[in-house]
Amino acid sequence: MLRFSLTLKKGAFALRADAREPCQRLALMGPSGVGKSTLLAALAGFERQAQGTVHLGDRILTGGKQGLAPEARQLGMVFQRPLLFPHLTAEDNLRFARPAAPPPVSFEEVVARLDLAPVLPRRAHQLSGGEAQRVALGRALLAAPAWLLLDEPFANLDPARREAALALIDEVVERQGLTLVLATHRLEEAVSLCDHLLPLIEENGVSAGSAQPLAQALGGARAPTLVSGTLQEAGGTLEFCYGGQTLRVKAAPFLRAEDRAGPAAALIDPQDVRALAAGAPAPLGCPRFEGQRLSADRLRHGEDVFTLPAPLPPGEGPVAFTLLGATVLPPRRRDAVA
Amino acid sequence: MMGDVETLATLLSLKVAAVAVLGSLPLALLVATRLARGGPGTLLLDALVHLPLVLPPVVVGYLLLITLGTQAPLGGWLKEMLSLRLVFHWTGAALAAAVVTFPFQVRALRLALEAIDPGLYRAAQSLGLSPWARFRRVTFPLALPGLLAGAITAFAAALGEFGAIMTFAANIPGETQTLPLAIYSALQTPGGETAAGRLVALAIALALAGLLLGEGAARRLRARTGQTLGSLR
Repeated sequence: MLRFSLTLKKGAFALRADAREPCQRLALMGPSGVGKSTLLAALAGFERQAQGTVHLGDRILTGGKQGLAPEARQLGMVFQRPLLFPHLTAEDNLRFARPAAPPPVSFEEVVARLDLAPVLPRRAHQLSGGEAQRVALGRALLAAPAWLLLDEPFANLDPARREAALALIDEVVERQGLTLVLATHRLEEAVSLCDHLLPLIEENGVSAGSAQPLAQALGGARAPTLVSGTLQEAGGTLEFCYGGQTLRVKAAPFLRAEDRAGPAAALIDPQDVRALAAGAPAPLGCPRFEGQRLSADRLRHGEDVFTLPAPLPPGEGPVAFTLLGATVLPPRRRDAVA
Repeated sequence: MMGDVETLATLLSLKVAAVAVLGSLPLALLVATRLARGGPGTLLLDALVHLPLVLPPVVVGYLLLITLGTQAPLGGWLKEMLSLRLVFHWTGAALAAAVVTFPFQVRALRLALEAIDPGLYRAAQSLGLSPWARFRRVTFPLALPGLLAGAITAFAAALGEFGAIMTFAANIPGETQTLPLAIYSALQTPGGETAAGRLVALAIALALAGLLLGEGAARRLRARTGQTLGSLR
């Protein structure tokens, strides 16, 4: 359980972030450059100018007279870059930490779950971006951490391996009761792994944010709309209503095999909804809306992204929507947002 | 066939150069670490370290003589308390060679240290490593190619050091007469050109062997970490 309140000034950059209620699975979200990585570094104790408090369980990591050094914080950290030790093989990188306590997962399990067997004898410079990232994640897990601080840990992974890595983290966090802090810009990852969300937003030169329960954080104006439906059969279609239009989502690609039956919910980001003129992908005959509403210029080939003007103005003619993506939640994660 | 003079001078040169390089290595590592880290006083320290490179070696020898000679306070104290006499002794020759070749070691080490991605220290710290463990398991192995390159260059330069040794430790056959000094003596002796020629050939062979050995080892080490000669990743 993590609780913190931190402020940091570094040149022209200022950050203010807190989680006043203890949270166990916290997602940091926000645009690039807003300070997600800096906040992670401050939590880990790397930012000496950071002021405030960081409590992990009943331990005080930052605050009081002086904070704990990063090496004493029992971190399991994945940085923005893999930062593998170039003079060592992937295997030696995985075994680099020599923790006193046994790690939450065994070396063999990490290798199997993250599909690392083929890369073990290779050196860091012989690994692809995704391979290096998986080694970095494995290295962090094998350090027997008390908490995990992960900075975009799935950014370079292909979908299958992303899913495997995500499931492994979910499992380790659940099994060991670890605290997880995940910086990501993908809502899908935040929703799959976390129950609290800290949206970092820059305003007047200060990046600021407070952790909130996920459902509450998603209730904002620009947040995705939560809709739900029932999967009738494995790989079936979910039907959602939005603004009087029916959107169909083929849920199968979003779900794991064991979740492909029973009720599911989905989060839809307005940016993933694209409008098409009635019955035609051609630009001709597109309805023309004014102001912040739909404009035909932005509907070229029916492909341009726009923010949904909700509710749709009546009598402007039929508009068809296609949905490019949705975050479909398996039954086990529905409570987090419901 | 090598005569007594050649054997003595060669062995002594190797001993003096080896002791000079190995003895000054820890200090070079310390100074290079400090220089690579930066901060106040870096410029001054850098200038001081490079001073022997621009001063005439005779001046270095003279400065050593007036600070560490038996008549000088520090030299007298060393002799009194530790029975350590540097002047007219091979250890003095090693010290003189060490001072003159120190910049080579520091320079190579500093470059190697500066080429290490500082993020790696954070990664090591996040994995629970203390400062000493970080040095031992990250800094040292990654700086090893630079350390080796610097040590070899310094070794080759120490083999050839003349002015500082001559001034501080004098030219005593079998004690402080290294190869260059033996060459000098041979050239001063009527009919000594043949001996000098042999000594010169020896000096060239030694220096070349040292440089090739060092470069080869440094290449192997760099290849292991994926660093190429031109660009350090």
